[in-house]
Amino acid sequence: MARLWPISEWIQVELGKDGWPARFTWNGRVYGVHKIRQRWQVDGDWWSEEGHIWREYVALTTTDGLLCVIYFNLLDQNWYLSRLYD
Amino acid sequence: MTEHYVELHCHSYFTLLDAASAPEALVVRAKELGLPALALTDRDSMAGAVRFWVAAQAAGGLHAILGAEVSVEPLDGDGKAGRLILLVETQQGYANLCRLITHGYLRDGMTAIPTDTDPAWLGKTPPRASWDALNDCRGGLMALTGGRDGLVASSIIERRFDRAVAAAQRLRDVFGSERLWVELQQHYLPDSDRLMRNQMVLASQLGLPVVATNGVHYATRAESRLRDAMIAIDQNITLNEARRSGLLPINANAAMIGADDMARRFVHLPQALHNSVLIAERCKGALDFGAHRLPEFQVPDGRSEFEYLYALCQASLSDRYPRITPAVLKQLTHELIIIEQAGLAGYFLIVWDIVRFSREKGIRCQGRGSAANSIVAYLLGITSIDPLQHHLLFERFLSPDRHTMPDIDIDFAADRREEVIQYVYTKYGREHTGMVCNWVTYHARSALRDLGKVLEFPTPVIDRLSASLETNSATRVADALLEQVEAGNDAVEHPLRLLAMLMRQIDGCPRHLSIHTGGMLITGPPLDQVVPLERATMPGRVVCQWNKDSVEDAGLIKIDLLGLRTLGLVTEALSTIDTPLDIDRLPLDDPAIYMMLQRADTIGTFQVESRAQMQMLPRLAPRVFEDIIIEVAIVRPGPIQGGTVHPYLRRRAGEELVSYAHPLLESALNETLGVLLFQEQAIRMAVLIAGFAPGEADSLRRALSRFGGGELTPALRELGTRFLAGSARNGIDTLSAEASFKQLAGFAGYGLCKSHAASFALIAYQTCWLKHYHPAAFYCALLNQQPMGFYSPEVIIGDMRRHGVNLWPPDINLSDYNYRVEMRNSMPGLRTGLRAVHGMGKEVWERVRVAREASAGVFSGLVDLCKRTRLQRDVVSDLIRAGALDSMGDRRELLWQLGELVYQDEELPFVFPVTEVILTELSELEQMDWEYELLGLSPTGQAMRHYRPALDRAGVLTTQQVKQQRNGRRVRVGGMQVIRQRPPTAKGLMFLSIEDETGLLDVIVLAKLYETYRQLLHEERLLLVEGVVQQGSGATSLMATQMRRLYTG
Repeated sequence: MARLWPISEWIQVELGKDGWPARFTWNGRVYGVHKIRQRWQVDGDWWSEEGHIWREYVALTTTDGLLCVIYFNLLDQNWYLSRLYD
Repeated sequence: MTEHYVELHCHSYFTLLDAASAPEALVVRAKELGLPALALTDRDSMAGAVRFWVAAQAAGGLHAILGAEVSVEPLDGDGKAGRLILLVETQQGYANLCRLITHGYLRDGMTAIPTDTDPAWLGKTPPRASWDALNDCRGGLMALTGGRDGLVASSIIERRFDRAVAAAQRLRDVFGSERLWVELQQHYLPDSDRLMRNQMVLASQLGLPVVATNGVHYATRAESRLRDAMIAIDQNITLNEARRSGLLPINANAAMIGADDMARRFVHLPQALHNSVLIAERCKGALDFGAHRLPEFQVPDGRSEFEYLYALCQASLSDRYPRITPAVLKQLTHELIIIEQAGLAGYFLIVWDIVRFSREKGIRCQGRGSAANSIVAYLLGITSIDPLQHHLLFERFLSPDRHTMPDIDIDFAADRREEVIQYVYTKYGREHTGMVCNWVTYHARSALRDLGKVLEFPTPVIDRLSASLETNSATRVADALLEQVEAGNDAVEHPLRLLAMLMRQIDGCPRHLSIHTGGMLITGPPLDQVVPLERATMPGRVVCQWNKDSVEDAGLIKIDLLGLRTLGLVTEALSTIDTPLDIDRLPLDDPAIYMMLQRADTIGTFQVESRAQMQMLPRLAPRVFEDIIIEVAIVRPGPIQGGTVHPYLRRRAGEELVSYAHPLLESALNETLGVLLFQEQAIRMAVLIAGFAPGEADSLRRALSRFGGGELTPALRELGTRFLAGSARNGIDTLSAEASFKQLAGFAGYGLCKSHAASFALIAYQTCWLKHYHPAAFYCALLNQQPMGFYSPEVIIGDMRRHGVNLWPPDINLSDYNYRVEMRNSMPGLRTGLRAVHGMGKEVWERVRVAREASAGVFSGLVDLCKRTRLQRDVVSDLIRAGALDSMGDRRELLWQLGELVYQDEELPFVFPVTEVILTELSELEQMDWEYELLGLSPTGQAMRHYRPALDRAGVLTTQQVKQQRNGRRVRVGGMQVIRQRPPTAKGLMFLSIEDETGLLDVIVLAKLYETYRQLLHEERLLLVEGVVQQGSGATSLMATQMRRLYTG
């Protein structure tokens, strides 16, 4: 089942030596990253009243088998959880 | 690490509406990033190639690689073209790439370019080269498989791996595995990794190497927004719609990046980066700037081109110079030696032949521009100005040390120019002949409209902003918008800021290609091997992808075949005059003509008719032909802004001492009393003071002409240093040398070539002569050549009446299509042509003519007219209201009768029902209203005469009376606005010309007053102006203080 948050959840991310997420903390629990599956960047909607979107997305699997989509927001320099498949 | 990558896939803004940066900006960015080489690969285009090449040379050390992204027909007929990148390896490859792109546009190749009568003409369709053509043109080219819309990647994205393999195999069949690379890009899109993995598998399977590119569409990230906007503009949708349709890239990763950033994107594929460097090293193709590439001129009797040129010059010597002086022979010899050394005899012969054809066909023509500095051009009849008599300078046109090709511009009677163009096509073949293009670029209005639309500004807001534009510069409008934002209207801040940002970025970007007004390229090798060709919108017309600057910078020779309506005017006027005369041999010293010029009686004449010219003429008071040359050259924005005008006038009036920065300069500047006005003088100055060779001096002039002010560029500083060093060697003191250089730098871009001014002055004199001695013929031709010149037909006719030539109203039985001279009771006049009636096209005229020339002759009445012409009811109604049927009855009665006719499907009953009615007589004002609506004027007289009695009673003066008032007198005058100008150089002032039945008057409206009366000025034609009379040197104007609508009710 997939969960999608209308307003993404703030998470704390620890990067590995390769510059990609190695661990992240959400709701007080730490998740280890098993594998980076996909990555992409979004930079758009700069003209809209709602605001410019500039994000680096990462789709990953955690060591306990969850598939997550997280992103780094380049505008506020924070990581967020966008989707969770369990 | 930094030198291990070369960008081989890079689009400039010549990939129209899909890329955002100028070729020069891409070069600058590549240098900043430390790239050793850069390829320019615009889509089906080499339009930016010359600019790219020149910029790379100027940048120094950047290896410029020529190439293109070429659209190829689909592999399996599914309708979608694929694209691939082709890079020029050798000169043969360059020619092949031009051929291939041309083929994509013209489909059938040069040998079968459809003519204008060929129904197969496709107009502007998306280019698509065939696989056969690709195979045919592969020599000297290397290929990359392209980006996401490339033949291979697009198939993988669509999960058609089999088709991707088939496409790659087909490309390998064409180019071989030594000349084909699978192109990898990493833009961090959701499917980028998958695409790259599959491309690697494919490359491995087929034994093909891979290469990394970034598919650049803008120099820096900041310009990605402009590209987004351009994509929306191209699709004629908003940005939101473009996003919803998936047309916009999801990020801004197609900027140019350096080797380190590319290495991070291809961390596991260093070979893909390294291959880009290896490919770049193989690319040796260049733009060949040295070759003239002209066709050989077919010379009779086995003579050489030069021998024939020599013979032609000799043959016309005695005709042009009844006294052949040593100076004439010396100059001729000097020029011929240089022409022979430069290998340009054929060029002169080609132009001579075009002029010869034109004259044989009775098409009036005359050379303009710097070519008139040449005695050879004069002897060949290309130009009409004797360079010796007018102290012109051949080196402005051509010199041995000049690096650019000479340029010959010829004006032809506009209505027959096409015959000349067709002659050139026929003579040299369509394979060797094409028109130079003109890139239509974004300026304030187009930028505002297109960007406003994609940003979803409401149409009325765009209209309002557009209507208030007072500059053509999109950047300046952007600055004004930001000022508006700073002034504080939070509600619109965000969209206005975006609009301003995009307007700055889009300023000067090309929007579409059109045909240059007259530039024609003729080449020895087939033209499609020199530059790609496209179809123009005009049927049968082919244009090359380079504009005039690129053609010039590429070292090609173009000939400008320009259309000039004034030459048509002269031809037509001469054909109306009974006594034969050779206007080209008029003595140029007729006092009557100079008196006419001094009183600014020049409406309708060439070059000296504008409001500004007419203000200047009484002040300058031309007395000899050289004065007309100065008049033509001095009333231009440059000299006015550069402060040249007043010193010259003061010196001419003896109010200021004539002085020179150094006595040596006297010989160069004495003709303009020490004021630098002509380009030839600038060249002479550099020769005299700094000892420059003429060609070097011309280089300095050209560099200065491109210099926009401010701090000197390094190249100009270098020239300045050489100038001062040369001056010192000549014994010139530093102060004088610096003053001379400052004078040259100040002269900057505004100077006019004297030979050009002289050529135009000659036509100005001829038109003045026609106006003075044959006014009816002159005005008739002037009206028939409309639209041309500065004034509307209404103003021209007012002027004509004041010169004793009447205007007879249109008459269905007497009028031709055009105006024609008609004497009535020994009074000269013009019969209004039916063309003057609004909506009267040639088709209507043909019906009238055919019926009138039939045995039944002229029309006996309304019914007869309708029966025999079957003209549409509204056309007949307009003819009645315009007065063309006045000989058949009262206009209102005729309209009534027309209403009673059963007039459907062009069938009329033979019996004409007549109902007796008593109609009110048409008043003069009603009649005039109809005439203004349909003719744009009233044949019975100027509108103001109807209001004169009331104006007289109110103490309002005529324009003529104002001219007789003393300086400083406060007056009121009424008139019709006929000209309104607000030049950017005038600091907000508006210049207005009002006309009444006695003449024209110039009104000056100060900036503050303009703001007060802006709406009135734009909405009302009839004005009552109060102001202060300004008299000065024979010119009168009125400084407005108040204005209001002239109440006519």
